[in-house]
Amino acid sequence: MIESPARTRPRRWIGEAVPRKEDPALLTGAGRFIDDLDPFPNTHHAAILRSPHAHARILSIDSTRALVLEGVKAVLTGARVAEISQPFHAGITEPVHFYPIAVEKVRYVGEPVAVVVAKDRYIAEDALELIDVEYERLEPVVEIDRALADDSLPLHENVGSNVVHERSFTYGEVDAAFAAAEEIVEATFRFPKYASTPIETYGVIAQYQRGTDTYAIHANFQGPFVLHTLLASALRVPGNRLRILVPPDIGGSFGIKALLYPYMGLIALASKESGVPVKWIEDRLEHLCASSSLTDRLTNVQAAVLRDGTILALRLDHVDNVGAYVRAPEPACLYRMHGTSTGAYRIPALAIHNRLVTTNKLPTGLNRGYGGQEHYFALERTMAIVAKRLHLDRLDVVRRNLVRADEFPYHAPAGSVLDSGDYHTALDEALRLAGYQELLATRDRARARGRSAGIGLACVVEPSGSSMGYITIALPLEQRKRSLPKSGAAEAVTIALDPSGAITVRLGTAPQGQGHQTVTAQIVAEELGVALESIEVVAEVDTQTSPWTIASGTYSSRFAPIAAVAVQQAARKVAMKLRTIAAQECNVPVDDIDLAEGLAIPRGDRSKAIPIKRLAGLAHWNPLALPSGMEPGVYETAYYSVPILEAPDDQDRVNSSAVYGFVVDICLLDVDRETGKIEIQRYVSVHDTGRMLNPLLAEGQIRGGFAHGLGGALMEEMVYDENGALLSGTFVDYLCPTAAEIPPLVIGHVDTPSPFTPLGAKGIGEGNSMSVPVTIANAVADALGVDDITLPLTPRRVWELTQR
Amino acid sequence: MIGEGSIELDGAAEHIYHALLDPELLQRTIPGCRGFEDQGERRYTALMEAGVGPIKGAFKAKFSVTDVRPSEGYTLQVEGQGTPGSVFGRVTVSLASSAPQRTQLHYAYDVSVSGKIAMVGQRMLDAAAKMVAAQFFKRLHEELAAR
Amino acid sequence: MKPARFDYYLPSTLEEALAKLSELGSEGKVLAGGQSLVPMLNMRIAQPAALIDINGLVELDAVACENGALRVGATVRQSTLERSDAALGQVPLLAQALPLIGHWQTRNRGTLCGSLAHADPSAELPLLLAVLDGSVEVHSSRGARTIAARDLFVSFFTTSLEADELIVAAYVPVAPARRCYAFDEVAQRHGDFALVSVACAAEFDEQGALAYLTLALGGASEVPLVVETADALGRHADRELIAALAERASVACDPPSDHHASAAFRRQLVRTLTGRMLTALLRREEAAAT
Repeated sequence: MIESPARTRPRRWIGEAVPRKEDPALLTGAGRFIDDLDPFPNTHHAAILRSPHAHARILSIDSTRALVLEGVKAVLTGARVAEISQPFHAGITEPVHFYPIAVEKVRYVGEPVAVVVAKDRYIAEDALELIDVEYERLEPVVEIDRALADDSLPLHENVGSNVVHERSFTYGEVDAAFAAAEEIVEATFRFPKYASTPIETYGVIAQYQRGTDTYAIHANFQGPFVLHTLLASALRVPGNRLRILVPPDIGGSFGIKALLYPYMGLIALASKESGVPVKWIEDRLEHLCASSSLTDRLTNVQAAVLRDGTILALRLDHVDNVGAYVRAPEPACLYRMHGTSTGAYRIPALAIHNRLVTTNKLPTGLNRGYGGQEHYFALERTMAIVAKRLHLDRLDVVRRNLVRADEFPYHAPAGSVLDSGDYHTALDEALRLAGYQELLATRDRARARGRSAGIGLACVVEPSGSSMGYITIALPLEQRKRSLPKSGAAEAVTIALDPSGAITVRLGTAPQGQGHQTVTAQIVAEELGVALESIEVVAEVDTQTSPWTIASGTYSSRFAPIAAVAVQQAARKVAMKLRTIAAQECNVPVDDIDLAEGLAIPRGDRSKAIPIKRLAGLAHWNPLALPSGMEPGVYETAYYSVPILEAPDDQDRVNSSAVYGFVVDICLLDVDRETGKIEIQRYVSVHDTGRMLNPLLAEGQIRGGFAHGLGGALMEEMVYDENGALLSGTFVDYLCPTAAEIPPLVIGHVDTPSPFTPLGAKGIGEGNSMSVPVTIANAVADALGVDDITLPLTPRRVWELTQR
Repeated sequence: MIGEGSIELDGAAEHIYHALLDPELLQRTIPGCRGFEDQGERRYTALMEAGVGPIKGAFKAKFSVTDVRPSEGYTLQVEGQGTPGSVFGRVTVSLASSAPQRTQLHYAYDVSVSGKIAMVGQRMLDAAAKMVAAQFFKRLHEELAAR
Repeated sequence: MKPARFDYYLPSTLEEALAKLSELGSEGKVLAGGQSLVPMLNMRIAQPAALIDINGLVELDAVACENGALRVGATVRQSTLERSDAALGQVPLLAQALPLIGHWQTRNRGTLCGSLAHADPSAELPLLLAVLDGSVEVHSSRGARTIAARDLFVSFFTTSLEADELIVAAYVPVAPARRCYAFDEVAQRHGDFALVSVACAAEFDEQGALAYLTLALGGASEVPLVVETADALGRHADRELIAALAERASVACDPPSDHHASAAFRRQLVRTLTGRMLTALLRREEAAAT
């Protein structure tokens, strides 16, 4: 055997606990957020008059008094918006017309009714008080049950019903499974409406240029950029006359800033109407009543089970409340988990009945965990109820049904391809970290002392990297066939080396604090063998100059499985170019060139190493010396899409996400029956994140998801009264957990890299948002011995449960 | 917000009943009421300023008296709209003779608000409704006593 | 969330401030720490014509011990008291109540007197003043007077102050030697307005009988409510008496209903907190006696 000459390996960066590149600027107040930008001269400020009514007809709007106020430039109302724009399209067949402002009717408290453009925000808000609107109040439709009733007043008269979408699906032999069942366990669940509350609210600065009929819109928008297409058509311009610019920093989003697009349209139209650039920074009152939220959901589950706990089939009946309008990407709330409806379990047969209703509440959209918390609340509560009804140990029921390690990739009946996992080992690891035997003993000791203690468990498959095609299964097959099939989930990245060899990476991901710059630098540093600090990562997106795809943006935890791979692919293109040039210079085969330490090093002969800087210089300054056929410069763009994300098939199966992580949560808590307060004694969460890219960031994502899940479990809810008035309009009434409310979290890992992507990484930011609400619900059910648990488990609600 | 209360007033039920239908008296007893106008058919409009402590809001209000039961009571409906939002509700007043020339007035209100006041004022709405109702009937008592 | 237009005055002497207040009447609003007022301005639910900022009045920024009471000036921050060992030693209940008020950021700005003038029945400091039977010193261009806590709080956000009057200081009685105190509340999160709060001051005689008891409730009525307890004096605080007092407290109050807590639940919380608090005080006393 011939010994090969020594290779020089680049330093490993992927998987290292690299502190965030973003932090020095953010921690010293040097971030550049939307409100820090001042891109256009003579920018005016918008304030928005909002509906006080849940459901009313607009009889008249009189802006006369507002228009004469000094400093007021224009007042834009719905009638004008309907004249100069198109309604936004959404992925259902029913004609639910959605404009960014109320046209003829208001349908939720907080819906925009008029936009004032003035010299400053103070004057604009003064002017709001001078606009006289006459309303005729209509019957409000607030709750799902009312929306389902035949005689509820339709929000959208042209649709004629508040049920605006309905589809049924069957996978496998469901009826046979129910016939063969030894028990049928049925339960109904209600999941509340709550939201994401990033520190930075929405912000838009828009300029309409009359001369060219173009719009430039700066906004802290997170994608998906498919909404660019939607927005362009609403504004009645071709895509190349709508330029969206995302600032370098976004102060959190958690999904909610995807639904910024209606305001981008509204402020753009306000600029067009007023003839000046217009800035609007949403305030917290506006955010809590009129940004976005997740759906409240009514789920009925029937499980066909054997007495040993084997689940043969599920029938799921979902009613999702999207609020007043169906705003794209809805009805995705119903479909994101569709392919994964059977969760972590090997359940061969599945029937799903989906309905979407409109009510006089804030319309919905993306939120951390999107569709997952609603889905797992029903599924994992059902698992707990099955064990209880059959008098079986909960763990036995779970273990019996979990997908086994040797079954991956596992094809779930509704189409998801669970790429990798070792669920049983993850469960064992969670039990070990929880000290499960001791946990049981602690619970029983507490009970013996008269306390109400309970243990909760949940197993959750965490999808990441949503397919662009999954939403199309909302359409029946024949309709789907009428348009082009939709698949994949592409992301684009550009890497450029300037003549001095300085490296700039340009992302299309519009990060909101996730640390994309850090991970990107890690990947590029490892691929190119250069110093981490030398890499500049530009996160601001400009649709006119950045590489992007319709799927671009940050949502569905797609950076790790998709964008990170695009970074790697772009870096590999650059590496290949540099190595090809070096190979020619050194007169060796390309395969013998290694990139490390900032050098291109020929195998076995370090003395001939060429600095990457020189290779880049050569590509810029001396193109004639490049290998024949090679283009000058170093500027490489890679587009990457996960091959496994196929369009839905004719049997309505869809693999909705690129990769699938896994989360097991175990929690012990104590309920104070007198005060209704819950005290979490121990909380363990074990994750499968595939190949971990950066342990610090992974931990941050897990802790963030945990806090958000805890909010949903214990305190967060958008509360509407029976008239549709919003009662939770400030942070005094809409409660988010703070550091003082978050118990210690024990984190564990059983990571199984995905075989379907080159990096093998899985998203990790949403799992706990999905798992925590139901884990806590299961623990409270165990503590109080009740099944009918509704979130959030506020002191009042817990006390009421003890009064049954 | 729902609530109820009662107050004992001097005078026969019939007398109280007529007083309660007197627009002049309504204007003086409805807290923060200005520019009261009789629109006929027991419908009235007014500007109402309501609030608790430093929190104040001005509303254009429409009142109407319905469900008239001579000498026994009626229902006063109110609908107000202003920059802080809207208020709508009803107060049902029932009269019963408690002694000669003494009448027990029982009131039950059901008031809803919407818009900004509902959004930001959750904590104080119950108290505010209670205060406004109490003020109204206290003034009524004073007005009747002064007659 | 921008306030409506208002005039702003920054007087440099108390006389100037009182003259302005007298001139403006109910059109003027005093600005001390601003932790309640400024959000109300920003949300435009309060639109006073003018603000009179008293933060320039250095003479109001003083804490002193006078005639058996801690005198706290109108611009003394809550955090100043929280960091003052002398103040906490003289009024031990402050040490229990202050950390429950909002967050340290708000306490850095918020004042004791401002909270009293705001008269939020859920707030900790009005309850503290009520349970300790403190008072406020009130000045106007017409003169000065002292108002006892029981006469100060009239209703939700409403005090017996006239429009031209300013609280220049609060008097919080110094704790007598054998007096023990407790302050507790149920809030959904740390720093939230309490669903209800309970405070008490008690003293046991040498035989372990109750020699003094004041029990007060916050967030359970339109003002901080002092519960009648005179008949408990001279009795041993056994389980039966504690249960009776807890029950009485829950009946005496008239709590509001909102989506966080129904009136029935608030009564339940009053009953539970009162019972637990008195039991804990008794245990503490028993432990000290043995």
